[in-house]
Amino acid sequence: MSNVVPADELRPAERRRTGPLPAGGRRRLAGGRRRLGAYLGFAAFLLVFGLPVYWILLSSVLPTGQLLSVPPTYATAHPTLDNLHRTAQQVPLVQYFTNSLLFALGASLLSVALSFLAAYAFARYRFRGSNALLLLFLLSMALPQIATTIPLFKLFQRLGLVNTHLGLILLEGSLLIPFTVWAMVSFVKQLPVELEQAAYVDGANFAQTMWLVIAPLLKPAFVTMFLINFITTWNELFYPLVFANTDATRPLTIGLVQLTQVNSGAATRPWDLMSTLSAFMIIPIIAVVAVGQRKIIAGLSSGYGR
Amino acid sequence: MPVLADGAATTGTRPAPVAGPVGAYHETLGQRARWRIAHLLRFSWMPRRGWLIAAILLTPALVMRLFTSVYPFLNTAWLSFTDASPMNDGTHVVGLRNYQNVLTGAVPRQAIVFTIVFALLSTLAELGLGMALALLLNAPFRLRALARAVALIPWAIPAIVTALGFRFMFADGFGIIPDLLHHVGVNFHWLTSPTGAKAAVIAANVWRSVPFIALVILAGLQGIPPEVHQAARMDGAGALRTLRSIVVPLVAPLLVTMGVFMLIFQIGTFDIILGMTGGGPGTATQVLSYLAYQDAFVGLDYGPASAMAMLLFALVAVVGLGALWLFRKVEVDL
Repeated sequence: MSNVVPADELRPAERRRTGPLPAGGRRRLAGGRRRLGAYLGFAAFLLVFGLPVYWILLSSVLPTGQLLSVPPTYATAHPTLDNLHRTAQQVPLVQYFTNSLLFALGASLLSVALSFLAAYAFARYRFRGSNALLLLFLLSMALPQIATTIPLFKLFQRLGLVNTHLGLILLEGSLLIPFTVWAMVSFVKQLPVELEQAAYVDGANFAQTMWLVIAPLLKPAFVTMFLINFITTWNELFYPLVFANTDATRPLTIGLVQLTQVNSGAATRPWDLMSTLSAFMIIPIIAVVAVGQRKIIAGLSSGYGR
Repeated sequence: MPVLADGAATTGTRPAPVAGPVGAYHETLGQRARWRIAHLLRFSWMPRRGWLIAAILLTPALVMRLFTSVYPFLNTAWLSFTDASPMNDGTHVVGLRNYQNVLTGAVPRQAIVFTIVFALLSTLAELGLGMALALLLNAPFRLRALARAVALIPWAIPAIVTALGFRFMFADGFGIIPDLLHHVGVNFHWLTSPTGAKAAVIAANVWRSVPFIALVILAGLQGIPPEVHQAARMDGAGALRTLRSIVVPLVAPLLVTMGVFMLIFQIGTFDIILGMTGGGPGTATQVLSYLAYQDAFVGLDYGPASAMAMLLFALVAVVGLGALWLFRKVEVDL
């Protein structure tokens, strides 16, 4: 019953809020205009950011004749999967898809696991130089990939890691660590230290506390960072371009680059295959975004927004 | 801090399955696995000192970064002074010759200039449009959840797909953008003219990043307590005045950090250029990282490529130092 507010207490506040009637009417009108503005802006936003995606998806189901028509075709009543058949004949789709999946799963699991340990140390222990070390971690993220790739390529050649899934996963996993640690530190800091102290008092040792107390509580953070890293790796182009030169290791991004090199001259490029492969790549990503958008936004803003 | 000494009692007992009023308590497979592992951890060692735990936790990540970032970076710095190439038998130190060649060559110089122009223009456009979009998404209207999901998509789809999509859309003849512009009376060759190609790659890059920046700024906007807006309205501030005097100063640190992040990332831009123009037409849209990649892995010339990579790093370092100065000014605490 405690949530029932006496009517007398409610009314004065309400009267103050709406004010005299004519003013209220005018304000409602202004609010309506503002809302109309928001919807118009939203429509423009949908057009600008939705159209390219629609265009890629549309091109993948257009019959070849309409794909390169002048003027362009804006919609079709007869979508076709012919393009997909032709793409599957030219590109080892299943193999590349598996490679992309292995690459993305491996790199994101590796980076989340190692970053969790490091982030826990940064969040809970202050030792001499801990801030400097965290800063160094962050700075290594700013290093352009090309500034490390040549020696890495020579090193991986010597270790036999070029053209292996393991090599790609190690590279990308490591690349993802700085951002993951940075975002994860703030997630760990949100947990009260008392939880761990209580576990120690109850007789748990360090590993048990991490496993039974901390890890379950950080599950949302793990999911968030896993999703972000998964998407980043799925989209990664540079490392596979250098380190994956066999069909057994190439991810889908490289399949796409290979298609662009089939022919030179804009008109003869296999646009049908390229758009189909693009659609094939982005449909799973759009599904992941649709499911995990809230978590992804939380992770991105805790990483960049501070 | 762990308070117990080694060999203290451990949690060997797990909670007994509780028979609830409805039915028996069922352990899921995950729970069973968790307890199995906890059981194994029973005898794990309890380090007494905090720094030791920290060191153990940090080692795997540090080792990874050392091997894939610190060591290769130092090695690149060394290679930039040599004529290293997989084609050569021996490697000779050539002093500053690689840098001299890069800084005097017409193509690398053009690439340096366009790298800077690309990063600067992109970042400025992204911050402005990102702020505008954030304000729009912050307005109360239905479909806000949908708007956020849509805003994530340009960030989430591969840059190479974005690049190819825009290349398709900007193409003369069958492209949608020249066609739409044709209807409003603008006829322009995008990817086949140097200026057009430059504008097109920047536009595609801005398209890719604006919604993502807007989402981060949006998180900042939502951190502004509503009382602040109410107070501003009480004091008679209009919408524009509130924006200029209250909202922008409050999210300024965020804008600065995002600007620095984007500048640094976009100095190393690669995917968009490779997918959209390949550096063309001619060398109009060539950037440092793509040129260095071509030199290293197509031309097999490690020396000049390393020199270009180091110049790229120098640009990043300049931005970073500028950022430290700016951060102090707008009081961003890292």
